[in-house]
Amino acid sequence: MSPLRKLRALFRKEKLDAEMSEEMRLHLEQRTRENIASGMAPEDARYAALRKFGGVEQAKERAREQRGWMWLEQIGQDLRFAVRMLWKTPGFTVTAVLTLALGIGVNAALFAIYDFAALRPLPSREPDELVELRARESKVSGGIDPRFSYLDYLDYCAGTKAFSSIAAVRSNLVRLPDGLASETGSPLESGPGIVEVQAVSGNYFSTLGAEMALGRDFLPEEAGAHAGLPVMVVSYLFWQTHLHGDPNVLGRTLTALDRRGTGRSVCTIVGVTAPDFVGQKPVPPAGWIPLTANPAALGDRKQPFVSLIGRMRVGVSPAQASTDLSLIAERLGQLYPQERRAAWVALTPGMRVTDVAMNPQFALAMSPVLIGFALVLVIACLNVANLLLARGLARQHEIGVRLVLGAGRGRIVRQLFVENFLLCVLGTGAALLFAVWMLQAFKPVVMSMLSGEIEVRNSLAMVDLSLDRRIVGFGALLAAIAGLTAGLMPALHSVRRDGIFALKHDGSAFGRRMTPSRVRNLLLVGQVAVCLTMLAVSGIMTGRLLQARRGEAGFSTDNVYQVGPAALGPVGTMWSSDPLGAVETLRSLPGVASAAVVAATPLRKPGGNVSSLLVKVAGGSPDKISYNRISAGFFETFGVSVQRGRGFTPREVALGASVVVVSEAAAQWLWPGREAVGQFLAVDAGTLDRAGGAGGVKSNQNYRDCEVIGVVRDIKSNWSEDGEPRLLWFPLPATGATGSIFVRLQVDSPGALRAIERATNEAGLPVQFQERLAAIVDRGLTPFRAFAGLSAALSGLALVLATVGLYGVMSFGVNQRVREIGVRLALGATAGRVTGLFVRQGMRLVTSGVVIGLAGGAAFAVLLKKALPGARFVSDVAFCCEVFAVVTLFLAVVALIGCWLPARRAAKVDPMVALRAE
Amino acid sequence: MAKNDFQTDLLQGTLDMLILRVLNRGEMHGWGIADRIEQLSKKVLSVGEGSLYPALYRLQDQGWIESEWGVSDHNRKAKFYRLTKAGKKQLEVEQETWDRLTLAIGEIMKSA
Repeated sequence: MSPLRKLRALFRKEKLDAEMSEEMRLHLEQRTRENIASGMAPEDARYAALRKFGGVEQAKERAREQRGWMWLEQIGQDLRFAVRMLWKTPGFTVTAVLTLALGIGVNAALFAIYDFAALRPLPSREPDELVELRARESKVSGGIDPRFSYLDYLDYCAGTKAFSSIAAVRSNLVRLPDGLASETGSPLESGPGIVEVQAVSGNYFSTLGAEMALGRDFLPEEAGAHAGLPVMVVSYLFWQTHLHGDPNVLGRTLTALDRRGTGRSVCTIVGVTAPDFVGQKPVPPAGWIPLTANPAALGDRKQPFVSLIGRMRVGVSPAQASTDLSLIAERLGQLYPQERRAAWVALTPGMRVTDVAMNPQFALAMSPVLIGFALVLVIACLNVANLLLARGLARQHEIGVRLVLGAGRGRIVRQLFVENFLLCVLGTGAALLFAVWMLQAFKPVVMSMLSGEIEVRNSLAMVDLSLDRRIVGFGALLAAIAGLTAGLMPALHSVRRDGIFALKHDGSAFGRRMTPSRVRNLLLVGQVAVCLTMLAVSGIMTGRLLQARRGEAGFSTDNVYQVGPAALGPVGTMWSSDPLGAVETLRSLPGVASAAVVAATPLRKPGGNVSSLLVKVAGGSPDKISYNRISAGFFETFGVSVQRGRGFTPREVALGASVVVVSEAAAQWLWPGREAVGQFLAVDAGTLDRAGGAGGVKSNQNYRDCEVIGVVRDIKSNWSEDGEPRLLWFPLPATGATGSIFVRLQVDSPGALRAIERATNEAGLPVQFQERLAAIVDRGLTPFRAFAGLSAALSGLALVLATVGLYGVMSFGVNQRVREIGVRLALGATAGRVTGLFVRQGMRLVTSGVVIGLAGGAAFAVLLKKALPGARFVSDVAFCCEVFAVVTLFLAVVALIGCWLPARRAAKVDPMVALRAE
Repeated sequence: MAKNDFQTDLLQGTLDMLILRVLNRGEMHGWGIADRIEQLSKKVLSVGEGSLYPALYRLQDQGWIESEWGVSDHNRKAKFYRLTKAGKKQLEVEQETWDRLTLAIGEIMKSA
């Protein structure tokens, strides 16, 4: 049939229907007349005619279905009907929609964050061809600075076959001259007047595919491989915020003061990038200068300082590209043998905000939260499925009537499906609104979790965390899964019985221990079991997280500042050559309480702040333990109390004495029940010497005995589950030490800061106060707090959903049997006895659910332990049992109330009312 | 074989062809078509009247037959169907296909 006629048929429906009815009526009349004529009684004649015809209504329905766009019309009908049905039961509708919204919403928001952080590339041409290059010690272990030396970079460029170009980047923080610094704090500034300028190779813009809004990219002679000119391309944002969008900006000069104290540079602006180009971070740098404009260190193969990003040739796989580069790395290793050289080049997708997708430690730390998110969705789906199943049981009567009246089974399934689909659409809509709200509300937390270095508050405005097509698509996908699992199954279940059966067994009839009641019982047992499993698992994780993150850092941050060399200092101070000497100088200044260097600042950023090495206690086998290295005076500066023994003396540090200070947890672990001070610990000297840069040989056999001279309080170092309390403290090596310098002031006031800065100037060691330790730690602790909070919130959500679901199923089960209660009361049972009976029956089912659920929870915990070997939270059996017990008790109480309340209500009413209740 | 077996199991599309064939002799109303099919097949084939009407509407939608309200022999109101030009052509096509099909099947049945 042509579409036009179909369309016409749609609008002429009434007329067509009337004609059809009339025709069939006439047909039956004719047949009846014929039958009478052949001698039948009028009644029999009519029945015979009807028998011969078959189902009149069914024939009409078949004819209507042929009419072409019948399905369209029917779906319209189904939708209208669905809206009516949902409107009629607002409690059910609101519960189901909100449940779906929560389950889908939190997951859509999570996906949005993940998408922003790890999946969605920053603006660039063909971003999938761009990869970041990371130097590694071997294929399996990182171990070294992921950056490259400039000479190595040139060799990689010359030797590679897999890349069309490789660009080098070095990030510098510079201080703008006073006139240019913005007063309000631009997103570009990480401190007052401090902005990032990237020194890049000449092919940087062409590699990334950046367009210029104004002017041009670097010319070959400006960014030559061995010498460059002081020219600058500024970012669009910098042009707008600091140069006021000056159209005559090209040719202007910009004076930047190197924050490292190596001097000032005057650059001529030659270009402005296009508005959407932000470089490799969500917030662009102020500008880019040629890497070769500052020739210092370019010729030193031992100094890795450029990060590389390359564009792979079309058709080259990352594995091929990595092998290609690693061959070059091998060759360079033979040509220029030196300590700690890259032997493997790993590739990670370029132009992403973070590399969390690649970071197993991050994934491990995230896993409890990820599982929490998934659990919320599972429980939400389960609840909705149960609600729908229960609703299906309650509607068996209605469905039975419709089956008997000639509705096709397919038609009813479709109608129920449309109803469920509508529910899912509503749920998804609500979920997306919820997700948008959550993203806005939690943006600061999220950003602080993702950002290591960029100053969070200022750059927030730049970050686009809104819902885009992909996220809406993801939400719709989740909704489709939820809709299919939660919607289709109950719909199919509802029509499995034939109409007559459904009419007779309308689910509330007395004493029929037939399928409906078995389904009801299964529903209940299933809900209890799954809720228990889910709650047990999320309880274990949340409890553990909260336990781990409740505590404080373990050190005092008052009056402590990180200091660095002053921006205007002379070139080549003792900062780089002799940090220990610099600390001694600082310590002697008036107003300074103490000063120290630490190799790995505790809690500076998410991820591994401390590394680990192998140790042996006399007669034992090697064990892995984390360690950090410090100068004398660290414990005073950081306010870590020495419990027993003492800290290092400057002499011990200067001489590189074989001494070690252990944390309480480490002491407890290494020498349980014994005094640690005075013990000897065999330490893998190879790792220790190498890490210190002292030039030792790699060896796993070379153990050195260190004497334990003190025990200090546990502190948190890491973003791991418990913050790595088991920690060894070694003195920094006397030469080649690197680390951050901290001073503790006697008085924390701007005046005191200025006085000390003046004093350092006079002492020939100009310093600048960089950041409060409190701010550093705060930034480090934010993810801890966010995780604990998020995990607690998710578990709370799971708990609420499970409670609502369980209560719903329990009370539904009782409400279905109101008529039975009426009969029992009418036959003389007392209200108390009836209530008792129902509670007993209900709790028997709950018990089987609990048994299954506990088994499931245990299985899940074992599985988790296998999947996440580093996660200690699942190996603590006593703790798990505690959680299981609490969760079981809680669910049992919920179930009891869910059973008892409706049963009691039903038992209190007049038996006649209960009997008539439908 | 009992004649009832054909009642509902007419090959898909066969009923359509039979209707076209019956209408080729001239216009006719619904029950007349059913009667004629039964009579022509010497009561071997009996049309399920419930499926007759959907088939008629289907053919009409396809443009092979058209209908008009009229008055039957017994002076009763009835809807009359008649073949259109397209329907005549369709009948020829179906006749030919049918002949080929029966011939082929017949050959197989004979040889086997």
